Amino acid sequence: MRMMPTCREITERASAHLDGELGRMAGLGFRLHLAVCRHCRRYVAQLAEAVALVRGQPVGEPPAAELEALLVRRFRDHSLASLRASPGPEG
Amino acid sequence: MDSGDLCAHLRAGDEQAFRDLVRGHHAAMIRFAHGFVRTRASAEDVVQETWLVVVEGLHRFEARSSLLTWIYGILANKARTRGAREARAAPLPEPSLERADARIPEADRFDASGHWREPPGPWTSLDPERIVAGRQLWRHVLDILDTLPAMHRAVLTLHDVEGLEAAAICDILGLSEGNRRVLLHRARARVRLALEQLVATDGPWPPARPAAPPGTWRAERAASSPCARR
Repeated sequence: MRMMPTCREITERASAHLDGELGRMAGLGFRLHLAVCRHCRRYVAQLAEAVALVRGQPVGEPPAAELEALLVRRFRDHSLASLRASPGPEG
Repeated sequence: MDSGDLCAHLRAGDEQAFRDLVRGHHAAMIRFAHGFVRTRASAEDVVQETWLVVVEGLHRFEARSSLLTWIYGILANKARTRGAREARAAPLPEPSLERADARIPEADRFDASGHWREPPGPWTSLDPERIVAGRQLWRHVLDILDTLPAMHRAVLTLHDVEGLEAAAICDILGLSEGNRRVLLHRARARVRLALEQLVATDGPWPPARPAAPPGTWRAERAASSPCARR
């Protein structure tokens, strides 16, 4: 097996690297390549930043008030029904 | 509240825990569903239907599979069924984006020997609050997510937004582990590329800071995430 991957191979494996999914040998080749290639260092750093932005997005719009009220009503009904059905160890 | 707590609160009928669950995932679920169906209204419909099923099953929920895996499994089924029905009713004339965009987005930036012909451009700060082209960067990121083909968007949402495990994602979407990896990487690579293009065309840095930060940030919530990780 060739020790040093190409730049193209680095970009293809960059996600697996970030997720800790590269095997030992592949991981070694990956790190060796990064040590000598600033373009790929930049690529991997930018991919990590992109992932961080996706992970850090705000939770977004809540449901419309009517929908939330409907769901909470249903939740309450089912909670009461299921508590009655299974009264627990003491009940 | 850790994940075990949340499930216990829900089983005990804690309404605030239920509200938190709905508010915390509703928007991400609509984005996920919209990949499979034609309109935002359709996506809202299938998410509403999903919550109505979830609310009836929460109390029977067993901890062996995570709550979010169960919820997204229901949503994926409903969204794909609805999407297939819409496609039968009114087929689109152009070929699906899914196939057209299947290759790695930077594929044409390498020479024959696999070296960069057009290396990645430089980035300055990617503060989510940074204003680019008149809007906060995190808003652009949401727009980028909305341009991803359905399965790319689905895998990225489940993995990087909702924090689900690889095996759960494969179950929900009916994917092999190999396909999950490829889709996740292509989705992330497309986000990186879109950011590169966005930042490269932007004006001087630093711009004026916006006044108010947005409310809850997902990263902060993730630490106390409801049943997201087993």
